[in-house]
Amino acid sequence: MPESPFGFYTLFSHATVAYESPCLHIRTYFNKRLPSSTVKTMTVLSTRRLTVVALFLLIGFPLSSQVTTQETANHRLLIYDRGHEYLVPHLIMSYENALQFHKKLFQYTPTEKVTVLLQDFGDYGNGGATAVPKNLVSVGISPFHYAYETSPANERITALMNHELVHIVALDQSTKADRFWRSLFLGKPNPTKEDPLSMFYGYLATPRRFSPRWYHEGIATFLETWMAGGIGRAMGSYDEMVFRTAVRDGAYIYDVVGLESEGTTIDFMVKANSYLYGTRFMSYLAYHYEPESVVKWVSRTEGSSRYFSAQFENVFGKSLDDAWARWIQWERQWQRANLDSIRKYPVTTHRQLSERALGSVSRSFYDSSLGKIFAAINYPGQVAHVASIDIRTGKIDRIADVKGAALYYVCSAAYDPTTSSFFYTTDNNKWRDLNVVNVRTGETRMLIQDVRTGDLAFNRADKSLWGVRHLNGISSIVRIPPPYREWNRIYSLPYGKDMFDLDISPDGTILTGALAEIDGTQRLVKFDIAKLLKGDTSFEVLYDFEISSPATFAFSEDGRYVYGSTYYTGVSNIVRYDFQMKKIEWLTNTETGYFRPAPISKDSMIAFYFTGNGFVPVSIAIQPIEDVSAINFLGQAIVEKRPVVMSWHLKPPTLKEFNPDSLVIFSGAYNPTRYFQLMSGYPIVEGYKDFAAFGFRLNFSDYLLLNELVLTGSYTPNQLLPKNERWHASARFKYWRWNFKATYNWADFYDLFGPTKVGRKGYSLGVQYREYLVFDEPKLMDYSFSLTKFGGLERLPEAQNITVSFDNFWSLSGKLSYQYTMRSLGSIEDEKGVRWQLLGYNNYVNGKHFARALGNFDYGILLPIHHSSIWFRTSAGYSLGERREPLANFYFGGFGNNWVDYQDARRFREYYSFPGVDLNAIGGTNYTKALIEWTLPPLRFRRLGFTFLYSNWTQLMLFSSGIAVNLDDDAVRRTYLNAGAQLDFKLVIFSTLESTFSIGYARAAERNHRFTDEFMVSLKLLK
Amino acid sequence: MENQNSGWFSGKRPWLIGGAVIAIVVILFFTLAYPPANQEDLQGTIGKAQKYRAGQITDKDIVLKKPEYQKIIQSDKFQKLLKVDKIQKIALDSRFQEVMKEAAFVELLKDQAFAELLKDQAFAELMKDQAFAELLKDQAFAELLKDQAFAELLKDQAFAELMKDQAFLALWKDQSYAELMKDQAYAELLKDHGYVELLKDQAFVELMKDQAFVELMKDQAFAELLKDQAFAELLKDQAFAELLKDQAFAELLKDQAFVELLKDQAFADLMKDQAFADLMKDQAFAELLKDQAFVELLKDQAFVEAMMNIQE
Repeated sequence: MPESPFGFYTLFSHATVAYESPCLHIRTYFNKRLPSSTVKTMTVLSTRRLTVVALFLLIGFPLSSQVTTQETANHRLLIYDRGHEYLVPHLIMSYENALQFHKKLFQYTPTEKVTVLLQDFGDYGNGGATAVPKNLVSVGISPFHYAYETSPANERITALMNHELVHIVALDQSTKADRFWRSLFLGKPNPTKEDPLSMFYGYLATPRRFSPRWYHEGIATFLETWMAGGIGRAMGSYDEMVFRTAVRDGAYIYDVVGLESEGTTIDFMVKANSYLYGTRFMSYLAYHYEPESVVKWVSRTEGSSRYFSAQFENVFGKSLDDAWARWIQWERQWQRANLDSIRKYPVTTHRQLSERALGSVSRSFYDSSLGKIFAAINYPGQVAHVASIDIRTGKIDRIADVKGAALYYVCSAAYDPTTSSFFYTTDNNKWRDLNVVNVRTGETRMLIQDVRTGDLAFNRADKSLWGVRHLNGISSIVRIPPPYREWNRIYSLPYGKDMFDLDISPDGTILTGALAEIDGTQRLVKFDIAKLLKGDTSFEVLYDFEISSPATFAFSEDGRYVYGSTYYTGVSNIVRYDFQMKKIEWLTNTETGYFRPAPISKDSMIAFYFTGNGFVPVSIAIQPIEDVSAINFLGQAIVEKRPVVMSWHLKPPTLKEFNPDSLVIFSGAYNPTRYFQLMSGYPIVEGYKDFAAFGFRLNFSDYLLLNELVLTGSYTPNQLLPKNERWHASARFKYWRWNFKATYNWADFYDLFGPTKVGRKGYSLGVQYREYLVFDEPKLMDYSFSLTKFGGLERLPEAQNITVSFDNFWSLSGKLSYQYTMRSLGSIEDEKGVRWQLLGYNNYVNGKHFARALGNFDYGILLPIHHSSIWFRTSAGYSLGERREPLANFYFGGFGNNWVDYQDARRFREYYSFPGVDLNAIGGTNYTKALIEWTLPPLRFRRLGFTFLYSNWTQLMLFSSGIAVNLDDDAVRRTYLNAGAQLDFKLVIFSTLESTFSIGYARAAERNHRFTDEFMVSLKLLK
Repeated sequence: MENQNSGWFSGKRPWLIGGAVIAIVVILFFTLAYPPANQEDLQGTIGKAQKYRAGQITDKDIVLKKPEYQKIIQSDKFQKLLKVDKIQKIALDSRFQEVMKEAAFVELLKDQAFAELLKDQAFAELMKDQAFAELLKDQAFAELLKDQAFAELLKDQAFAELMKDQAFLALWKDQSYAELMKDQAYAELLKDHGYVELLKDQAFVELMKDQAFVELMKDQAFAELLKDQAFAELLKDQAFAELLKDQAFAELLKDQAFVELLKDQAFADLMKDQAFADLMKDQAFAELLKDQAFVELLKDQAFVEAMMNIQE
């Protein structure tokens, strides 16, 4: 399956799912959830999550064991889980309502229906959208996470529809010229690395897709705010804080190129910076020019320029670079004014408790017996982990890694001081697991897999854990009694209400938390635990924070107060609620923001102080204060200066306007056969031997890209080639877990360049079956079997320089793979972990079997130097065949990269690579190989290039390896050593298309022989 | 006259005016300023950030389809149930799926009593049982589930309680009973109110676990008998229950004439008589009942009438 090099455009950056290709995620999701033993047929029927089927059988929904669809004239809603059906009317109405708004605002005329997938892949709400090859929106129905108010708390389906449809319009809107290209290419071509000319075709058909993330997220978040009547990040407190802090600290604010090349990798917010900068820049433009101009910039109407930055100049009369620079200048003035406002009253002072900023942090706990704070932390360069911070020395010690850390809050956490147990959640961007680590010994245990519960609170009275569970878009308060192996539902809130940031009083009688309502208002509430356990869900409102979050309120030791933070004044300050006096007291006045307070005595507390590098633990004296100034919001200034944004408020849909019963024109099973269709087709150029071939490529798939068919055909007009080798064809069909592939005189685009040739004379016909045994990302285990018939060959399919004495054979192979690798924020690739593979081949030729087996084992450690790893890579193989038979041998040699390439740029890591000698120069029927590699930290470029072509980073790898072949026979045994280096530059073309330029050098020598050299230059196109 | 009426502040008028002013002030205070707004709770001058906010969506604007089901779905018991492999297999069974499409069953599942039943731990355990799982897949039982009367029965609070009864649940798991449940005649019987009442009796539940009795229950005539109110009462009797477990007596019960006899109110009363019950518990009498000749005699109409007359 050619995967999108773009990923999805998303509503919320902490939803990592949304960065993946939708089809990949959907397919792997089903792979994970479906017990293999129950798969009887390879149909969509069998793809459903069986537990979900059972559920709805039991509660009485009419059963359909298929993905179902409900179609209106404008969209096609897909549901794979009947537990989500209750949302269907609301979603249909919200979609139609938002679409009507966007059609009017952007003068957008849809050319196709949008497929909307309703899903519950993660415990926190997220969305995604793409327009290529077809318009597709993914709607994650879980409640949002409100950490630091990075997400709004208003009704989420409405917010998602408003936001994602902006993406659809910005990506899909077309002029006559675009539509001409779409008709010529039989659709919207998706750039694919196999045929890189598709990049240009894609640009011609959907030009605005080739715009940076900040542009797409900026306009979507900006508009979403006004459509929601002022609730959103264009009016966001967190956004104000980030830029206010940058100005206060004199930190660098990235320019338009630097944002994508360095700004989205260097600090703990990584890609979320695209949202921050994009929204802020759009807001600035709306404030200084007109909000309508912002819409005009994004609109792809007749007369508009194809490229987003050219259209910017058309609309605003100046270059994007110039306007961006002016914005940064203005931003500094704006934030200085806010800082002056804060400083009208004494600013709270604190004592820093750690050596450095911790990046993002979870809830923290102070253990007075150990004098340490325990929290989960996540910052670029090191994998997220549970850590202890000694408050006397500031020393930070790693305790345990956190698998699947969330961007802003890392994980949910609770602490039992009597047993030194730190409870924490993993897989925080998917379905969360409950774990515990003993902070004294470091011993970790998983307690409940897929518990889907967070916002943990520990009840000291009975040692139970409490939390909020998310399922089917509903929040439920749950209790997890010792030994923490099962949970009990206490109270399920109605749809649209959500609880978060729970805490329990020291005597175990009161549970507090933030209660978010459908309209976005949030209140600090308390429940009587005894009553809750009896089913009485009544609660008392302690304080109404309106549209600010009552964040992370935690009890004091005496139970008299709960301490938390709020953006009430626009700045996050610490407040406390006094249960005796029944009132809120203000405790701090800060310039940036204080969060996650934890009182450690009657007169002092720990809190986390926001800096550009993340949160810093600090100690603050508890002293109520009387005066705190509010700051001004850019969003509010827009409202006052450009009141047109108030007219963009989208009122809720009514049944009178959008009655789902009358809108739905088809309801039934999602039949992948029915929806399997031609998505695009375009001319291609391929290489065959030393000649160019010209042909055409056709791409078929269903709307979810679950099943795909790719057909290519080409012809080499050169008379030097024998007639029977001039036609070339290939077919690839991916059907669920099956892959079918057929080739005839296989030609490949990259054979036009460089020494490596993958094209072969003859034909092949193969089938592969692949299935996951473990799918718990990043922990994966899978196996596959392949059977291929080759015919008419003149060279080995896997070794281009080895000619064969036969022209056809059968090949049967099997592979078992495992990997558990991790990476830190801002990483370029996996930085630590383990990976192994076992492979077996049997080639059957002229009545003879040639069986071979090999194993690979890689182990990597992350050095204290950020983003720098040492990897040990080993491999060994054995063949049962005779040494003189080419099929019985393993072959090694060379970097393996082509001058222009599409495979992994770091090919020297593969077992068959041996830089410094020629391709396939080393051969043998058995071998052992070992490689040690040091990956140095990447050097990131703040600005190297232009918006349409720039470089993000460069990274150097040093390696040395040794190989011995034919170990069983001294006469033919050969041993080689090499050492080399590879330097990669990441390039971005058209703002989104990533490529890698590599140069490499290696020197190798066989024992008692002279050295040989290899120099490699390669441009790897697309991801 | 002029003096008497002159001046606003003469006589009681000042008091009245003053009182009115105070009253207005008090009313205004309590109307406009009390209780204090939340922000007034804050100390000193805590500035509130000014943010535009238009009217927001409310829960009344959101149209959902049967959201009440979520209350059941979210429960821990229900979620645990769904993880049982057997339940998943049942879910995939095509016949069971057909049942689920039936409107009557759908209505049943919406019922609060049944919903509560689904949440019950004991019932959850039952759902995990292999025999019950097989039963759920059976065609006859599937038909039964579609039946409106049975649906009503399932919705019955008393029946729901019965379903939670461990002994009764154990019965459902019993292979013999599972076979019986598949029987068409028994399915009809299950719809009978009198029989449902009988099902709630502990002794009868015990009786139903007996293989011979199960065979008897499958008999059409006996099924008819079971619907009889008087006989139902008789069945609840412990002694009679013991008797029913006897193979010979079971054979007797299948006989049409004897069944007719049993339907007779007088004979039924006799059977309920303590003395007769004691007699029936007597080993010798029991043996007698097993005697073919005596059984033949019991079938004799004259003898029966004679017995009935004796009782009178």
